Amino acid sequence: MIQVTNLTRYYGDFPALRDVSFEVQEGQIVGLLGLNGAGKSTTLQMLAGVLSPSAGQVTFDGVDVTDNADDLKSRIGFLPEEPPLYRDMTVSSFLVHCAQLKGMSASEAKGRLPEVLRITGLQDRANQLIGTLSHGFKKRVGISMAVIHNPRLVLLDEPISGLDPRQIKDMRKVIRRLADGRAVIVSSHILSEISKTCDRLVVLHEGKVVASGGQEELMARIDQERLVVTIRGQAEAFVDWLDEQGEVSNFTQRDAPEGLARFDVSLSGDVRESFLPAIAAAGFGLRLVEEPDYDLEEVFLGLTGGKE
Amino acid sequence: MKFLLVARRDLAAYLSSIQGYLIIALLVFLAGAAYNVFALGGGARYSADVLRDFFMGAGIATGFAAWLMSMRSLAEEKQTRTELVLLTSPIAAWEVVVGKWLAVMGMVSLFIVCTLHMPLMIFIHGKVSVAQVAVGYLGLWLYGGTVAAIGVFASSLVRSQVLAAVISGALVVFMVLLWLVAQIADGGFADIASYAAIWDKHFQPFQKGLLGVNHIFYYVSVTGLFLLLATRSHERRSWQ
Repeated sequence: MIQVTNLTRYYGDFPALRDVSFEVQEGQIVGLLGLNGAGKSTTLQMLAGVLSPSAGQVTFDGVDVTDNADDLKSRIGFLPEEPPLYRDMTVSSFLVHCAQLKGMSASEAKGRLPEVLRITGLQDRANQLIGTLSHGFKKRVGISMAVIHNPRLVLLDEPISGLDPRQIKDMRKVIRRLADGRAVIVSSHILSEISKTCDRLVVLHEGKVVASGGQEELMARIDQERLVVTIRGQAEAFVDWLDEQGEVSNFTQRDAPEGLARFDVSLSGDVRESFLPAIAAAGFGLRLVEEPDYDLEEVFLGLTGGKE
Repeated sequence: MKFLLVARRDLAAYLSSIQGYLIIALLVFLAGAAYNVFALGGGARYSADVLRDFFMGAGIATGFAAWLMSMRSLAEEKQTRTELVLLTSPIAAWEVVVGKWLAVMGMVSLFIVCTLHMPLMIFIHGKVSVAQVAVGYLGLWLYGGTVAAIGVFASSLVRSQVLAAVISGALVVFMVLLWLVAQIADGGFADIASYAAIWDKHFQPFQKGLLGVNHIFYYVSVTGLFLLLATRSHERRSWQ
């Protein structure tokens, strides 16, 4: 449906995005994951037709978007990080206004309104002034704005930022409902939140794609190189033994119950099958092997080979 | 016809806020005060002179109304980031600008309507024709439209409404004072300054009830010029 090829954007001399390529198909929810400044918002703004690319190409159903920007805008819905809302309008009048700007007639927009309010859970707020809504409901109005004209591609920039845990849970449901018959691209810097919503992730780092694929696929790439092992006693001896192992690139000791020692071990490559038996062969009582808990920083370190 | 959507939204915003009504009320009061003091005061006068002086006061007030109403148009959209609603919609830059201008003109027209009772009194108690009054009001609307276009242009340049007001105010004052420049300059430059002056040569005939195509042409073309400049300025933001 939408194909992004070598998309590049400079702000002055600063390359905010370099040779970014990915593809999104109908029915898919794709997550753009990255730290602040990774290029997520820049990518979405270029797809939405707000920013022009310095180089590269975006095609929508095979047609270059720069050739037909207006047609593209009527087929794309965009929610920026801060929803652009007219505070003095009611929810329903604002949504009808946005739909008409996108090219729908007033009757078409009013006919579509109940469905959109149902998807985003705004039925009870339809006649409320936007300025009086809470942050979470304003986000929902923003999402409604992005889908009121029934676009084929929806772009959501940090839709869960600033929401409380209950609102985040509700928002995940809303985003999943959106993917019915269209493609959705969601950006976030929170791995755990985006991974629960998306079919596929594109990881951006310093303006470049450093990894892409399903959550399992990405985590497997990192998991191959780290383990958390728990042994019975003999922590100092185990430290000495780890120091002698060539395949161990780094390790740190973690808290453990009395009588046990727990270590987070980084390996140079996927050598788990030889490493784990070696622990037992060395006479250490191997009690538990766990997958490490990753935070976003560690994922980036893992996916960029430690080049943070 | 999407410019009508923009105009309708903006006009509804003006009408739903207290500021618009306050500005109109204050300016109607000032125009009324000027009417009582300068037009009606000072003993017996010809109706035509009273009407001329009324249109001078009303013209100044119309300029203020257009100036104050127009400063928020595009600047506020940038300030509140709601311009993204427009930038992500398939709407041409000229439609946005014309829609904004029409909304300002809606409020300017509301102000103008609120002054109608004053010339009505002259019409009832004096000897002026409907045509004289109508020509004067056409002048008010044309002059207000030009000031509004200058305001929308200034508003397209910056994010701050105050700065937009300063820029448009400076432009209007400069264009008013061009008649002074014409007084002290010589030759062709004096002629150009005299023709470009927004008030002196072009508005005074309307005050007297004199309809001149060249004056209508002046106001329409200057309005068009500033709306074109505003369109170009807005286009720069549409596809950065």
